[in-house]
Amino acid sequence: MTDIKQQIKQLLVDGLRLQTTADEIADTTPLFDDGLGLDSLDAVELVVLVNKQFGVQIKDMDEGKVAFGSVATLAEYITAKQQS
Amino acid sequence: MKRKAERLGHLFFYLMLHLGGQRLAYFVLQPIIFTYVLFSPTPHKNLAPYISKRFPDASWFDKRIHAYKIVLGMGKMLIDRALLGLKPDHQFKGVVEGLGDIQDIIRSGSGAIIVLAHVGTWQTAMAHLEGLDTDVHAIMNHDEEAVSKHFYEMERRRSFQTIDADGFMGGMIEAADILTKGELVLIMGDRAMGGKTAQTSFLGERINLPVAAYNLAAITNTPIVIAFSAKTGTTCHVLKVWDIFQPHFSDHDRKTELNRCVSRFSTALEKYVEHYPHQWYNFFNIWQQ
Repeated sequence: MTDIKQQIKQLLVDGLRLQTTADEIADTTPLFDDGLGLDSLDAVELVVLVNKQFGVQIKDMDEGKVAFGSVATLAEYITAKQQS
Repeated sequence: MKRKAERLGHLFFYLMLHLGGQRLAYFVLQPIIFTYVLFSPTPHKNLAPYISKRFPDASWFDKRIHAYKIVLGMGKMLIDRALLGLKPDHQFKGVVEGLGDIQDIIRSGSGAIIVLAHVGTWQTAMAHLEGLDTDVHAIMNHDEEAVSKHFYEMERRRSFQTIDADGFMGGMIEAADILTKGELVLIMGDRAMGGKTAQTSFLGERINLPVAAYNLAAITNTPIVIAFSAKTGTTCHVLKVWDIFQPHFSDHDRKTELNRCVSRFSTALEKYVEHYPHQWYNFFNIWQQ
């Protein structure tokens, strides 16, 4: 799980060109709004990146709402999908 | 009070449509619009930024005439839209110029983002897309006003579905998923609703236009189709494809690419208002958005 969280953080920094480092992102920092400040189009890009890197598709909007809460919730979502 | 009056107005015109069809509704509309434009300063104030740029040499009187024509056109467009809602089987004579281009995209298995503007008969134009062999989804706000207007009038047409712009992530994830299925997503490209914008020139002045459509197209690798509709007769409409292009983020920096995209949209819109100057339905100063 820790490894996936680190990969997600690196994905956020590299893929979404965040002006921060992976180490500066806390597991529980919200991805959107007051957290990392991502917007809806970043979310689309993140969906594409997660699919590419982890082979996990985020299609269900209700699941997506929970998954996109933070790095920790996204890691949980990816892990659960990979195991199912 | 204003909303009640608006609702009464809608009911009145629905009644006219029931009693005498489109022609009676148009006939009744003309004196109402004439009186409104003659006595109310609102349409002149709201349309002044556009009219002064589109008709820079127009006299005070000519500007009044232009405002009358635009408001009357808007009224007719609303009647046409209501007619489609009341009589879903009603057929307007519609020509889609560039339909083959859209069909080619669909046949290739790709989805497409059709970028529209608040000009012409954009709602009835959507009905022309019903004949395509794929589903059509429009991103729009589901506010109370929109529900009262669009739900009643548009969602009764089965192949037309809406994506809630106020939903999760502005409907963008849902839109991206739809595009990967090879379906069409409609986005209005002229009004910035609080999202990111890029600057370009429109009718000689700087304007900020939304970039969501081009961002989405670049991320999902789907083409942009810029299409505007126009009313060309009492029962005739045209939906014309003005430009098709594929936004790419790989070769340029993003800002430059998005500026290029909004510039192409703006150029197409300028050509449109050159042809159809009185079918402009942005009743606010779009240069200040």
